[in-house]
Amino acid sequence: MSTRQRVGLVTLAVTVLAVAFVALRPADDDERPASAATPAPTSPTATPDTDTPTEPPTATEPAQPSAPLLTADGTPRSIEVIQGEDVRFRVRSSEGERLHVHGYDIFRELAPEKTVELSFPAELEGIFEIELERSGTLLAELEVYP
Amino acid sequence: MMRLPPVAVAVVAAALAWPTAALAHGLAGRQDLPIPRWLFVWGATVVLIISFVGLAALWRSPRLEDQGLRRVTPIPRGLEAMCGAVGVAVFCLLIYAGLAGSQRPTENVVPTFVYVLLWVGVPVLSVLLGDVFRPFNPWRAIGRGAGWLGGRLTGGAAPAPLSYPERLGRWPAVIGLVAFGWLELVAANGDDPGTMAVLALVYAAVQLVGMTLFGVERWLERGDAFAVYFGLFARMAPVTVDDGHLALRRPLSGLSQERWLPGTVALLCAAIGITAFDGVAEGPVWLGAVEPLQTIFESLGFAVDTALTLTFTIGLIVSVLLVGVVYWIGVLGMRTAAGAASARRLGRSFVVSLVPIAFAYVLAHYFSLLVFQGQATAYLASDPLGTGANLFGTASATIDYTVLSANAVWYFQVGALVIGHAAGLAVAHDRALVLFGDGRQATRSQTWMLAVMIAFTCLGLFLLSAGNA
Repeated sequence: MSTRQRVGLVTLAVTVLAVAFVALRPADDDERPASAATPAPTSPTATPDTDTPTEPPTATEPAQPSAPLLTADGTPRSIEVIQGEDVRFRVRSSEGERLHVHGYDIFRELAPEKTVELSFPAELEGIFEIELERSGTLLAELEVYP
Repeated sequence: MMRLPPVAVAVVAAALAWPTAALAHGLAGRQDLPIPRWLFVWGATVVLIISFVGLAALWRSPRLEDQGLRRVTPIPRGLEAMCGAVGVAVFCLLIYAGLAGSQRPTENVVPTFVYVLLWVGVPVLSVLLGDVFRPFNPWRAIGRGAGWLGGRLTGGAAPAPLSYPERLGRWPAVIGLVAFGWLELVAANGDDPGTMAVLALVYAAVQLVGMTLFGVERWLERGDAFAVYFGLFARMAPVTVDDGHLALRRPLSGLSQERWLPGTVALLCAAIGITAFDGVAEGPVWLGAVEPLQTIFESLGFAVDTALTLTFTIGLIVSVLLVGVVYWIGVLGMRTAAGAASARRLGRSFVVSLVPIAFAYVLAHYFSLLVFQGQATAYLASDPLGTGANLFGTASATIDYTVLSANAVWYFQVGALVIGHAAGLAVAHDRALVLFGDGRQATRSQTWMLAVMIAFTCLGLFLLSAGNA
């Protein structure tokens, strides 16, 4: 193979890859990573909700569906949001505990059997643990996508 | 529009029993998002195209055999002893911190130092700057110091070291590496500072015994998992030490100087397998396998925790073995294509082409850990025991999670695997030219090794991708 052929081949390969990159790369609002394609029980009524409505939410708009309730029993969940949206969830613990949202480093003292609602803007991308700090129980993983 | 509801309510009630969160990820509060599927597809395409264009267009005579060493500057005498002293001091401080300090992994300096700075940071430094671990290696420093002192005291009459059983090769280092991987990824208390300190002492004691029996350098090259592991990465570096001088050489050319020892293939397969298992352990394939396996162990009478540990142990071992099987399939295939050379000889000759891929795995999986958790060094250095001290005034520093966007991490991960693949291809190509002389036969034999490398790289991409998460 001559030098010219080699250069041609490499140029062709680079061109193909550049075109493929542009073609495959989704526009901002195109495709979601496949993880989100998991049919999530997104309707808030599907989430077990034994909470009393008398708990005053810290910061909510009444039109929005109620936030998911995280407790120590049951399997950890994942909460998925797009960066810039608000993360909302409620927590309840049977004992006095300390809630820790890793990365965001949000801490909340939890009184026994009291439901606390949290709401904050999702600014950091990545997967972060939402944990009951004292017992080290993982409640959920917060997934913030760009 | 994204198929996500407007508010944070996409709650997936995971149907799978989640293994205890303490496994493997107790240290870092943040994990990477899976790479998007389109990027996975594109990355795999790049790998295939690079591979075939590489086969067609790469050089026709070996280029990496000759390192092209250029000495730059003599290394001051005594510098090595000073580095050794620093290494020993840091080791002692870490042991003290592990035993006396807070037992919470995030508050104590030991887990971050070992799993982030040492395990991920040193390979990166090694590839850039050469074997940086060697001068600081605490057991090497102690061994050399003791040897020097012993020579003085006995007037050179110290007994000669035993001859090392050559068939053993690097297998002690393989065992050390797998044990370390097990501690990091499987053991429930693997990031417990006290446990880590005790195990570090045990490890150091084994190294000292090994060096006493067989001689310092002989043992380091074969038995010290860290020295061997970091040393292999350092072979890729453009910087090396040549007879007391700092020297420059062609990148990757150091790999051709690697003397083959029994166990080298196993060592690299273990390195790739351990990192791969860390990726696998986060994905649904593995999480789906955990429960049945764990149930089997529980029905055999093991406690829940033990059953989980056994399950993960099996996962780790299977992962390492699978990497080994894929490599040997490639070698056997190459033998049928190339005729003459024995499979054993081919396996030895080509194993260095796995070094760039092993490094790419480390970068792709742990780069963000290094960037984010590495920042914890600032506050951990000031408060190493987690007791509220503030030695350097940086105890209140925090980790800035905005320094890398998720997109930047994705491109970096895919880029690392693709470049690692290209480097592995270049090394394998050069080896083939040396071994077969004739370009055509080299290409034919190499197709098999290329298939192996494509398999590893695409597996690496898959482990990062959304298909896995």
